[in-house]
Amino acid sequence: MNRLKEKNLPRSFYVLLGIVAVLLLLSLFSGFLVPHDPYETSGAILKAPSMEHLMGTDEHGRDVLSRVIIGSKTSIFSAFILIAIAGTFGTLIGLVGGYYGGKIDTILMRITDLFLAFPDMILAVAVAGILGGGLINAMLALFITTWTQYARLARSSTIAIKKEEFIQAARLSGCSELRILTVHVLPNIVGPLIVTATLHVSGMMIGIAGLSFLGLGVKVPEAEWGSMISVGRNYLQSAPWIALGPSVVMVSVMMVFNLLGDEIRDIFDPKSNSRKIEG
Amino acid sequence: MSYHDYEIPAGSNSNSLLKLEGISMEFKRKGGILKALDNVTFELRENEVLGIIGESGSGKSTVARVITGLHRATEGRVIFQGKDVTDLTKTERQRMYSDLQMVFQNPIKSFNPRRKIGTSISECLCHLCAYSRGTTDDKVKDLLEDVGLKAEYADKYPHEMSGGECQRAAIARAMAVCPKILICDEATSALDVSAQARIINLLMELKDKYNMSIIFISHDLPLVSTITDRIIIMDGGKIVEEGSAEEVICSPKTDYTRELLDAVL
Repeated sequence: MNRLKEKNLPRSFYVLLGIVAVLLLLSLFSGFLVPHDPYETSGAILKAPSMEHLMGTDEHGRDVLSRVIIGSKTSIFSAFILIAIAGTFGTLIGLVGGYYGGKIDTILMRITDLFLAFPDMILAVAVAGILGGGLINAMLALFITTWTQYARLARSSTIAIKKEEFIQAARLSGCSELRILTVHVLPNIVGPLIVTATLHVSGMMIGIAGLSFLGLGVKVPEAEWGSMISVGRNYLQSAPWIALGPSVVMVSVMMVFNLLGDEIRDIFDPKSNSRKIEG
Repeated sequence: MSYHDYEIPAGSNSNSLLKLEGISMEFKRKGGILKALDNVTFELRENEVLGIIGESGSGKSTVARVITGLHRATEGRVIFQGKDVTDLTKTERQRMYSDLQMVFQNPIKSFNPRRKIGTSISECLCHLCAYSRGTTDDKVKDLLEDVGLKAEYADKYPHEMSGGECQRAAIARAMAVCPKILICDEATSALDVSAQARIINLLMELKDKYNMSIIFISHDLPLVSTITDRIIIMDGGKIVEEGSAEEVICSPKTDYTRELLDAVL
């Protein structure tokens, strides 16, 4: 952390980090923030946005804004946790395979290939179908399809880095293998991985939404942005706000994560950072 | 075979510091085996500067890697200070590195780009010289001053320095352990001519000050001949000529050496 403080980080990074923090907090405490009960049906069906219902009401008369807020818990928070776990797991596999090479690498990478051989969504649907519906199972299904990308990326970066002279220099400095892996290899490959991860958060939000749409993710009355959009599709001409509300929020949140990904990439690249300081 | 004592055979030079005996090295490549080293045998004496010359692919860098244990030789033995160091356990190898250090070709790339120069140097001190973390600042400063860098350089990142400065820092790192042998693998090849001369002068100063031996690996015969006591010429993984700098330059025995000389003179 000290090293991060010493660098002159751009203000935009703090702003984006702040927004993401707020979003995460919002999703955690969404239950206390909703203006209406997101599950309560009323007579006011398909009402256009008004002062009482800022995003209108859906086909059952539920408040769309409340459902968007409560849905953030599933959409943002699950996607975030999913990426954190899949990213860490995949990185470890790729790091070990790439660094040690030989048989270990072959075994790990053939297992990875096995998962990569199926199209992501089809594998996720199959896994979620076997495990049954529910958010946790949907996340598990997406985890199985996601970690492989991190393993591949981490492996190729590790192979490129381990040939560098500073790794040999570290060995001559008496570093143990574990220390070389954690201190010399990992920090030098983590940049692209973190960028991929931040950019992936939005992809996972779509993944969860997709599985929910197929009835394999979030169960019906529960609010989730993806399923709200797919339901809203049916009323696109008569009541466009049902799909519009969650869509706009989802796009905005994805954009924040993508921008944050770009900022983090700049920070992790020491050269690009110094260029900024020098002018 | 481990770190056992090696009996010095009668008749050999008693102040021999490092000895390579029949080192061969093969790499498995697609479509066959590449013989990188073929029966390489030579000796380095105490306080001697030995030049290893050859063109790209002649196996001179592989020699350095075999000596340091970064590569394992297919055949042959490396004897360092009277001990067989061909097969060492990790801890034994680590102990060896406090007497044997290396400077690499690309100065900027021989430092971890995410760590400050001072951190990289203190890593060496902590692991090989029994310094504890946080007590190395003064020693790092001394080492940097020894190689003609200001103490502030400890807080710089490698990409903030020039190639010559970075190579000085790399030499400082290698000197942290006061090695008996310093291997310079093309240590000046990536530098411009004036920086090359300064690095060479620095190495010679340090050699006299700390009484160490240097193996200087290069493709630049005239540069090496000015500083080395003995020269080995390598071609295709074999030693084709060996002798004092004067002998090799003035009366080359093989055509290959003559070609090398003709290329520059």
